Amino acid sequence: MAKKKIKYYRYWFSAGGALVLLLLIGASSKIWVYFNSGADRSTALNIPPVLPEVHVPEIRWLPDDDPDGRKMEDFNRQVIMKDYIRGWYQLHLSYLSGKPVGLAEYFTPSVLPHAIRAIYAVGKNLQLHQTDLQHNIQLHFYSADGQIVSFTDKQLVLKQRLYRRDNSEKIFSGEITADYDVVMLLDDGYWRIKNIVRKESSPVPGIDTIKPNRQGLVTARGNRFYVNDSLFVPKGINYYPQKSPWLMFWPNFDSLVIKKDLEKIRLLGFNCTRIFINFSDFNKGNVPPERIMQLQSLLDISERLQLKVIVTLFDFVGDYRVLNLTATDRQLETLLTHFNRHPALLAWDLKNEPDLDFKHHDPEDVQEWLGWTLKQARIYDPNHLFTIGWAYPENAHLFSERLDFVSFHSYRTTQQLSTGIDGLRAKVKNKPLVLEEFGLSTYHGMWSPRGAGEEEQADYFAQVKKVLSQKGNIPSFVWTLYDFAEVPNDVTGRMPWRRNPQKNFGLITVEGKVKKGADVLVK
Amino acid sequence: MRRVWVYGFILLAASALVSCRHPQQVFVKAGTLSFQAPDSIPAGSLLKVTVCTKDFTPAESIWIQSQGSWGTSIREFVTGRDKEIRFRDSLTGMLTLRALYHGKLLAEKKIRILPVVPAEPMDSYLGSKSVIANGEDWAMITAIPTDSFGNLIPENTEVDFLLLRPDKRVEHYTMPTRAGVVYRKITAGTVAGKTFVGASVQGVNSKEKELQEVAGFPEPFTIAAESKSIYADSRQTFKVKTSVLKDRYNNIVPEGTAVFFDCRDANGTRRQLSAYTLRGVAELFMQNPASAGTMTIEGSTFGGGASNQLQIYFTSAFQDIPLVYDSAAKRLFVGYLRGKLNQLVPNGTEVQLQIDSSLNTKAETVGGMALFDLSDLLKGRHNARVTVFDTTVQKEIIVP
Amino acid sequence: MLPKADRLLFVALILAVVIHGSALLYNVDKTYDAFVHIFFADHYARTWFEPWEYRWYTGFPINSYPPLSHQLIALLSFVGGLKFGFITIILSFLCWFVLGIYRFSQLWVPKRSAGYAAIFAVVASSILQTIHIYGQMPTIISISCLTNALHEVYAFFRGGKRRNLVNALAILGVTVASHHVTTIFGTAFFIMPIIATALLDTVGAEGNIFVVAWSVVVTAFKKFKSLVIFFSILGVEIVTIIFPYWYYSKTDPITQVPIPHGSRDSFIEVLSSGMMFFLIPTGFTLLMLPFIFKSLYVRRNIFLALSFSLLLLLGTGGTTPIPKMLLGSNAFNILTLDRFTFWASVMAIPFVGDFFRRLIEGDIRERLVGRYGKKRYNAVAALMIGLVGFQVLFILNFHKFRALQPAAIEVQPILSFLERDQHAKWRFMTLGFGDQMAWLSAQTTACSIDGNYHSARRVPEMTSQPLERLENSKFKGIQGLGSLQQFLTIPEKYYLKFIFSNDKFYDPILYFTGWERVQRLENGIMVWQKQDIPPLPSVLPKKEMPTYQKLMWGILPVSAFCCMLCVVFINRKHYFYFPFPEIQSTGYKPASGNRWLFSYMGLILLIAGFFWIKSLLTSYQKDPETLIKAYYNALDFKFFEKAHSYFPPGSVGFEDYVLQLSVRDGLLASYGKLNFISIKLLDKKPNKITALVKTEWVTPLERYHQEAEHHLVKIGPDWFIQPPVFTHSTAPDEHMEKGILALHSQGKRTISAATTEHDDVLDRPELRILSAKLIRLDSQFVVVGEVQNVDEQAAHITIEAELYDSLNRRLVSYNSKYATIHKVLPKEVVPFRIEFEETAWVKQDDNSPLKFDPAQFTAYTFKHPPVQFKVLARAVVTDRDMYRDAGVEEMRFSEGKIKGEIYNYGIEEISVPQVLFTYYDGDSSVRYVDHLFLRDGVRQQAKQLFERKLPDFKRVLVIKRAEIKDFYVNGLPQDSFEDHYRTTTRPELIPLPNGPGYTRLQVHSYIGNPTIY
Repeated sequence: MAKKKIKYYRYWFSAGGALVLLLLIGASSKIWVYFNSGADRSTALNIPPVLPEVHVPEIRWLPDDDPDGRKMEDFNRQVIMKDYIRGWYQLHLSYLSGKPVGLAEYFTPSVLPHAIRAIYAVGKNLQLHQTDLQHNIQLHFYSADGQIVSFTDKQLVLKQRLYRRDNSEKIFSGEITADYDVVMLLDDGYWRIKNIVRKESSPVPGIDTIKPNRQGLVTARGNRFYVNDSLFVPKGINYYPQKSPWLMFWPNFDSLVIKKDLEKIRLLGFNCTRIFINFSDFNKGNVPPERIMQLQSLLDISERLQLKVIVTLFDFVGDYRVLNLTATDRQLETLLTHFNRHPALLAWDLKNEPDLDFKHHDPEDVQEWLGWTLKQARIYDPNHLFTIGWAYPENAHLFSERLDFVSFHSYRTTQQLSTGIDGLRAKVKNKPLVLEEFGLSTYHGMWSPRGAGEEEQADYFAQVKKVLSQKGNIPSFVWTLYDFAEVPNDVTGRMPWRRNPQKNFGLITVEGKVKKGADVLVK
Repeated sequence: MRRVWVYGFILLAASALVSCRHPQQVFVKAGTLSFQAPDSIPAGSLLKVTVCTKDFTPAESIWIQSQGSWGTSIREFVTGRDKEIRFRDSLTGMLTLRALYHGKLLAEKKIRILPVVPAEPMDSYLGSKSVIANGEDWAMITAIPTDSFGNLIPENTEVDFLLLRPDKRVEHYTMPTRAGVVYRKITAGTVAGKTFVGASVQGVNSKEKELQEVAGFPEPFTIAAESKSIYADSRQTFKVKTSVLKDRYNNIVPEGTAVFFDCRDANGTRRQLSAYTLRGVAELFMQNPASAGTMTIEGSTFGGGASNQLQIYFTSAFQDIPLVYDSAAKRLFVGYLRGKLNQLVPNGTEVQLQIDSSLNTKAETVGGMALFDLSDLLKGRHNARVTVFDTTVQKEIIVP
Repeated sequence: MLPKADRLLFVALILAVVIHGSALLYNVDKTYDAFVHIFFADHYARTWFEPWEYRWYTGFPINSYPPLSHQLIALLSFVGGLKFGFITIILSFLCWFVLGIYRFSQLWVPKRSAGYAAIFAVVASSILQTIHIYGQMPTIISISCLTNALHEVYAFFRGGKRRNLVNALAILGVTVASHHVTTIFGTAFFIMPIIATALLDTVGAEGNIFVVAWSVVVTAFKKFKSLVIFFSILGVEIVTIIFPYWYYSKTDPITQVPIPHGSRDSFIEVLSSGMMFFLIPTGFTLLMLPFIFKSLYVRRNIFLALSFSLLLLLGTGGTTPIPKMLLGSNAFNILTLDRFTFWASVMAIPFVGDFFRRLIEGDIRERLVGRYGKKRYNAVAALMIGLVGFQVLFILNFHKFRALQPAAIEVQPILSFLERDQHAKWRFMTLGFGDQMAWLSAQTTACSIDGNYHSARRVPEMTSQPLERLENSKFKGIQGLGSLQQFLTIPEKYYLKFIFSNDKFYDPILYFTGWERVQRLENGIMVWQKQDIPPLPSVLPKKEMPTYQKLMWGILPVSAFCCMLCVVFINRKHYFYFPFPEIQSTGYKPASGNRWLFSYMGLILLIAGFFWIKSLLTSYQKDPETLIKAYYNALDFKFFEKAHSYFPPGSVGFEDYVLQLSVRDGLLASYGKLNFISIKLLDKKPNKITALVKTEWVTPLERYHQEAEHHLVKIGPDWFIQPPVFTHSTAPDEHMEKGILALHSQGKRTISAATTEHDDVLDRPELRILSAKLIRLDSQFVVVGEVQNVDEQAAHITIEAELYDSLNRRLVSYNSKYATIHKVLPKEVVPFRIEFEETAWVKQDDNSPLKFDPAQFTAYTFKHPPVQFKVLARAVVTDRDMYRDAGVEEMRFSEGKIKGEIYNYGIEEISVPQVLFTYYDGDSSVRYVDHLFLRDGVRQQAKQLFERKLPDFKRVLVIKRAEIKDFYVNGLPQDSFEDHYRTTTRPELIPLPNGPGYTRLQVHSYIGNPTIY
């Protein structure tokens, strides 16, 4: 190697060494800073949150029969009932987990051992699912200093299901009703159960049922629908806004967008829409006022445009366990009692495609849930029609005798559709049938190369229309108005070849062009 | 980090266990089954339930569910092997026995478990531990008699209450139990004091309970001044005492009741003093006013009565204020202030001096005399004004 | 036979155990951090695999600090307790460090010098400071492992044996597990230069520099494979051993509280930081700098030289802007820079050892003896060793000169208080405990709202300059949790019920926010309590950590330690074997170097001596301004004798002066701390000056500005200040008799451990909220009103207001702070005023102030304006602190002010009087509430003037006037109580001078030391 200017290399070398050291220090301090900054300070304070009650059975106060005790204010009634119901809820949780959970605050120390012994009495290998559905409280006594209260809980219905813990085989499912004399004591900030005595269930004065008044609403006679005695042939479409389908519908609810879309539906010639109420988005048992206002504004817009609406309840919930019944009951009651006279409402659809859940849950549980929900719904809204949107015509006969009309979905070939309808018509004599969901995706991309184009969609619609008119022009609701840019994966699962086709079922493309199938449908 | 609360955690973990697998349904011809058991038994005794089954293949397992007041217990009954089931349930209420075979209810039997004899000690509670002794206010003695197992005793059992009132009267009441609870309203008398309450049922007694009956809001009262001097020297104190504060029924108000005193001084200033009653009498030490004239004092309790307006007259406390200016040392002597008894004013009495229109400087008397250092006073004629409390004296000073 | 280690190493090990072992027994509870590490160890001793720690800060994850050192103490604590564990671990790793230094020195200096280096390591000032002043045990563990590993790294990169690699990585694993910062920066400053030197040695440093450099680069590529292996495994070790730390420290707010650390100051301006963070850690090495630099800047040691000088530069903290540029501003504010000086001093130990070897038996000795003779040489050697000895003694007894902690507190009485009567079911807080709070937490399961995670290295006032005060130990509050005022005003939000106060400073703020004194424990700690606080819920919120991470945290660090033990045990035979030729120290030539070295040393000693003598002889009386400053400093520290010495002789008797001062009680006199002083000399005459002195005092409740005129007179050479004039007012009576209301509630009538029976729980006294209004003052919403205790028992009242917006959504709720009386007599009426705050310092940019700020207030930012409000009052029976024997006299309106005097006609001396002004509308409903704290106390039968501006009612905008349905008493609506009550006129209301409305004045007094009868 040639000896060149030696002098520089000495400085170069030490400068290079120093530079490397500086870099290292800079780098290590950067690492250190990255790992020691950027925390959100508000997470430092961990105070127990105030959660809304999950377990909300119905509480009805019968007239008090306490001659000269203090008159109990509503404020106190709520406080006592909150702790009484919470006591039952802790019992249900304890039965579920097999060991006492949080019972200490809801039973006086002298009787706590009884409650704990009861939890273990179910036995190691069995698991009891239990919930209380309804309480009719008659107050007997409320002490002067507001520390002691004695009341009877009449016709308390306990819904129970017993499972074996090892193979979770269901032993039995049933109800048991009784009266309970309860004495409660206010101790250390909590109302605690001091004594509880089970008695023969005594009759409860009838509740003032809502008188049916179907004036101006859609009714079903024979196989047809009538509005004020004039024939009404529903021509419907399932509807989600383009930018906020499925889960985003209610959080991003915008009444202007809804108005524009419904006008577009009206122009296309439809006279009905079908929308979906997300159960947890409506905050399970405690429906927030904002959501009711949003549903109200949608129905009012539909009324102004003479559009009828089928509202599908309990969307995206697959929880048929007993403990979820009370929250179901409360959401049902809040919505149905509020809208039981709304003219724009064609019908309530209790559950979208419950027969798909037969695979994941015990079919008996699902049907028991549906039967119970239907019974409660009839009480809350005696005016409107009720249906269940079954996924396949083969199951559509279930509950048909208690429903006002039978609806089913079909995404299969028109041949299977017609055989399905014939089979269904054989079982369901004089009840209107409705094809609540049908459609064909115009998606042909990487994931399903030979997918249908707009022409195939148009003549598929034509064939379906022909079959429906042959079978006694059964009304139909096409799936769906828009193509969607984005489909959340808990609708169709994560696999792209199932998610992408779901995007293109619309009659209007993402760019806003109306596909050929639209006018085929309506003419 | 995602936040998960402990309750939510238990619920999720337990339910996930169940919902993942669903059992198949099997149908089999069910035999008949019936229970033989007494309709009602006393709590704590052994309950033998004989189960007779007809045309069951042996070794079939039937589930017997017994739903009592405190919850559900489930036993397995194997046909052919077991004959009867035994219960020793100490908790009253209706016990429903149900036999379940492959999800179908075969038989149901209702057995009432009755409470036994009440046992020591009876829980009793006395509501609102203190009432106003005005004849209308009321409290309530509540008793929850239970048997030895803690069960509520049967309806309409007679419970005796014995009350000793503050005016030494003894009252006796017998009340029936209703819905497990027996209570008696105790209306307040008009004599303040302690009411003692005892309760007993069929020879079983409860602890003694006390009810405090206290006086209500005080009635109007009078105030008087004691050991007061006549000189407004703004230093000595005199005592202002109220009469004994009583309520409408002549009960002395509770210890420490707040009384508020407001007083207008002769020089137009106000005083706001607070005191509290001891054995009904509130007293406080007021300081003599700074200026001569009459002062009016009035006591009041908020929500209760007020007092009369007490007027007290004070004469001025000083004779005159001699002033001597020592031009050599440039010092002003405010010398030998004397009270009306020719006594020197006490040390620390405040003397204010104002030269022409400058800020007034303060000095305190020591040995009856105050001293102002005017060393930095310019030459010429000056006007000095000296005030001691409410009397002011003027003097002209010439600086050579 | 392999060469055995130098005999001096064993001397060093024995010295280490003797010196440190004995000193630690006394110094453990006087250091800063010892107790924090003991507390963490206690956590692992109680729940090894559960990282969530409930006992501090409403819960925080403990995986924000590497666990090994704490886990080792935890293991040992089962043998002999926590302190035993701490001392044993720190001693054993100190010996491990001496071994490490011995083997690290062999890389730079001959073996004999390595022996001397081992001895010097025992007495090195930075090690002494880390153990006996900071108690930073993880640093000791990690530095000892690092130094041991360096030898192995050098041997591996030079000799290439696999044994060395395994050794190095095993030992470095423990460094990671005990103190990750040492590993990260250690790689940059220690391992890199060592590897470079090893490569340089394989090539041989002689010859043309260019050729050498080129060949070093070539060998680097040849050894590339081993480089990659070493660094990749090291990287994996750093990540996996403390993986949860990296995963969580990003999101844990508690560890990221920026602390004002002395090591970032400029050491020239702030002398005390300079001493604490530079002089003490370098200590004797500072004198050795010429020698060290001379022997470092040799071609072979060039890499270590660069690293050493860079460390020294960074260690100087804020003195020069360079460290801030190097590290970047936010790293500069997060890192504490004293660790760089520490590393520099550790790196210098081998060379200091080499100096001593050559001084005692080497060429320096020949040189000195040759030129100056034996006697002169003995003197120099004795001086050197004497300096090291002085350094040891000074640092070991450092806490005797300047106390770092309050006096050791006997913890047992507090523990028995917490165990008694379920007191542990509430949270507690300690005030004035310093870092001993961690020792208390370590012995109880009760939770504290405050924690001691990062002791802010509070450096006591070092310099002799008056007013140079760094003592910011007053508790300000915690970022993200709340300020001290918020803890005291809404304690139920934190379930905070007990406060153990070791510092009288906090008494007024505790009293006026409604706390009461329960008892003074045997160890002098006053227990304060707030009544009516709900107990902690049985299930506290915790942040869940995946179980696999919990297992990793519990197993990996300890297993890294065990694997290091095995590896070192297996290779113990070769441990002291240095396979390479012994390094000759060539850098320093005594002939030329001595002159430089000893003159430099002489110069440094002279400077130090000069500073020391200067501070002794300063007399403050040479110049009026320093005299005034010294006088106020003496007053502030209550050095009355010194203050008296500044008065002209004979002007006032010393006993009389001291009596007058010590008798005075009051917010300023007993609780004030001087914060700021400015002096203006008015007319200057040759020997007579009047000076206008503006001072600002910080008291627990308010800040006070005071202006005083002082006359100074010059007698002879010195200036003197005229003594203040004291009042001679004579009280009318010498002996006073007065009936006192004495109350007592037993708590439980029968002594039993069970929870209180139903009968013993007194009813909540009945209250009646007379009137309340929501008003707007500029941009702030305030609720004012009046409440009466209509019950027949005295009541402790908590008044809370909740604001709602137009959609009836609850915005905020807060309690009344100062402007109310918390303990109310039966039938008494008291005003209240509630201002609304949100948690202090939650937003990223606002940091908690350096010093305690009495006026700390974080106003709630209203997104939606409040339109409705509720007032919730609740009461419990109380039996103390109801002194009502003070009233207002001579009350008059003049020039828009209310003037008057507080007259104390009771038998107690009022420490802090407070006047409450309630203003009413025409219909005698409350319009505005105001309060005023007086500066000075009021003795019995004495008076104290006060004046307060009348509020400008135009600025007070009434938003809403509450109806009866908005009032809740004891949780029930107020309209559910029947009122046996006659509305009466209110004679005590004084009509306001201009406009409708009235006012009423009340005096609320804090009794500092009540007479015990």
